Amino acid sequence: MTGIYKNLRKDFLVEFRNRSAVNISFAFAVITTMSISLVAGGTSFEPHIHAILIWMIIFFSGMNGLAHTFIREEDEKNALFLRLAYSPEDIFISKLLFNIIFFTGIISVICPLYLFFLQARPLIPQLFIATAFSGGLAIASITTILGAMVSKAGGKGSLFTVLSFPLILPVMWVSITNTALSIEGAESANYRNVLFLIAFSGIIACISYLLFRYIWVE
Amino acid sequence: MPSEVMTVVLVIWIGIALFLYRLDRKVSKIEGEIDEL
Amino acid sequence: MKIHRLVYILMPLVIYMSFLWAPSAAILGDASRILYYHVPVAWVAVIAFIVAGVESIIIIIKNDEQSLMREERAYNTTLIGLVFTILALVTGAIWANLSWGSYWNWDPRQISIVILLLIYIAYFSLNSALEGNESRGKISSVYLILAMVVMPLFVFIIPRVYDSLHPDTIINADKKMHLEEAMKITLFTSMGAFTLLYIYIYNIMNRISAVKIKIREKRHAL
Repeated sequence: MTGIYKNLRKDFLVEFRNRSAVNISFAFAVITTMSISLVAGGTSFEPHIHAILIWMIIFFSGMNGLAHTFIREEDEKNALFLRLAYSPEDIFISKLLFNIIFFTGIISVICPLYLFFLQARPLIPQLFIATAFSGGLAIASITTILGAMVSKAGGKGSLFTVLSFPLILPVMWVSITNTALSIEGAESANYRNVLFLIAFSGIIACISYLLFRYIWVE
Repeated sequence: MPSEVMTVVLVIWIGIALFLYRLDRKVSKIEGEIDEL
Repeated sequence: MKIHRLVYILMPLVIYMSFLWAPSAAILGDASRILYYHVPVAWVAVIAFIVAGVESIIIIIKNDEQSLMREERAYNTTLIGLVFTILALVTGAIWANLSWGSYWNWDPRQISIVILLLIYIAYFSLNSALEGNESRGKISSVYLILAMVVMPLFVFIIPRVYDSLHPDTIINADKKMHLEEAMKITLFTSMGAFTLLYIYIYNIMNRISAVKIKIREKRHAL
């Protein structure tokens, strides 16, 4: 337990001092939102356009930051030390928690920003929030384990995209559909998709937890 | 109509089957030779 | 254990049965005969991926000299699975065109098969990116296990949760199959024939891999 906490603290401190991932993600989010808002100039979009735009921004902002969790360790030659000092399970949980917290933070900033600047108002706010966070949870879970795999393969950028794309696609599809429904306020909107996303995250996180040591330990 | 399609499919299958059969024979031959090497 | 050679007899039989012996279906007529190819091909793809996952689990649990051969086997079955997934996609699209008028319908089932295809194509990227890395086998195995666990979600769950145009599958809600006797027999024989075909191709590919490994060993020994 303390191992997880210590690792988490270390990751947050490094991120806080360095601020590279957070900066890039937020910069991207703000720039894209502002650009869209400027170009849109007050025309109202349909709900599913809003949903698509929000998730595009979330996705690309997240991708910049999430991939770095493991790659940075390899770059800074920290990985060997981590392997010796902590158990693989501790490391995995701390990385997963870091990604979740980081991504949740990004989503908490992007969504209000977007809704404010594009004047979109979800008619079912609770569903909107639930979808945003469960989608973020799923993406964070997927990118943690895949990030670990890619970091062992030399961390070339395109490999991470190729690996994560097939798994992220359904998450995006479900999230976008549900977000559109929540903005629209349709009667058919329900929490079934949210449940699916949470279940998906759970499955990925469990399998990753069980198998992580075989990726990590040489 | 079905019988024409069937003939085409049969011909395709015969082609695949011959290929697999030749492959099978060749691999068996190599397996025998490599043990002697 | 040469049972797989039976495929030489079974497959022509199936071809005959599927086209001439089985009756036409009610609405679609002769076009429905594609059922006898689409279902078995999809079934083989699922089996191939399950075998890949199981093989990968064994690789991880038993880390011994046999691992290299097992990794080759996992690779081979994934390759076969990929090819059969493409075949399932194509036969499905043909059927879609015959039933609903267009090859691609944004149908949940069609989409999930494409996602499955992409997941396994990504495996090959991962595998080649890890070339020369000693942990390659383990990391690829983890990926295959993850893919195997996620696969039922795409093949079985998504199409049932989301409304789909796809006709009821074999494992469906009222646990019965709405097919006539002759069609059932043809379908099952066809599934058997394609399974044998899978076992046969897998067997040949594995033997080739074994020979490759032996050659490499002998070269090292020299």
